[in-house]
Amino acid sequence: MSDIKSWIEEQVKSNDVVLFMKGSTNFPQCGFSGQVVQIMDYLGAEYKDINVLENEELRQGIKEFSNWPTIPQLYVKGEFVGGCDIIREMFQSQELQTLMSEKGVVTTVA
Amino acid sequence: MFEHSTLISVQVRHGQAEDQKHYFPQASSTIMSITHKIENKLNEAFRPLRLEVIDESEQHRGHGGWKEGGETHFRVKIVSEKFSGMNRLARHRAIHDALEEELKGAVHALVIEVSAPHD
Repeated sequence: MSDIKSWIEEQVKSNDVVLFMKGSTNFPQCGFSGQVVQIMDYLGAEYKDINVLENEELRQGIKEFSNWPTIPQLYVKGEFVGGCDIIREMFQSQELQTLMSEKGVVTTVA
Repeated sequence: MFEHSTLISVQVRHGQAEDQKHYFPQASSTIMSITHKIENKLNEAFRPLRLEVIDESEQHRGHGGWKEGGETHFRVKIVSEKFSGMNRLARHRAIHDALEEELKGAVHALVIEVSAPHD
């Protein structure tokens, strides 16, 4: 496994919730990343944001890591949950909230 | 009239994408637009009951990945029996696989609304 993939694996294993995105939570540089930030902030879950625009190797590596061609990508307890469309659908149907609580991730919204 | 009915059938088939192309004559003058390629590949892979491929590039004018001429940001609405029994990730991955060439090439963003008839 390449260095970048080991690094990604380390991130998703050592943090309960990780969002790979374009830009930062304070300044998303893509509307789709921004939508997921809004959902995560609404849920009040602690998460680590990683800006893929800072590193071209990471930007490509994350796509191969998950076999998923687009960014943002959300990981909960080491497991890939989905991109913007899936996260939004799961949030709207409460499935995301259920998943978080089943995995023991603390949120401020029931 | 013939011309009138042709126009209507085209708009129904392509929805918003066809409207937007009026502003981008160069996009519709290519041999086969990316919109058409996406439609053809999804039709072939999933034999959908409903399919709408919408070019939303104009909404992203000036944003990352946007190019003059459009056809960079798409929304796909698809309903197919083939998605029955597949979870969300599997459905999206099946669509990514069908559109692999486009996603590696000109298509910068793809919003997917996918369902099976009995969801």
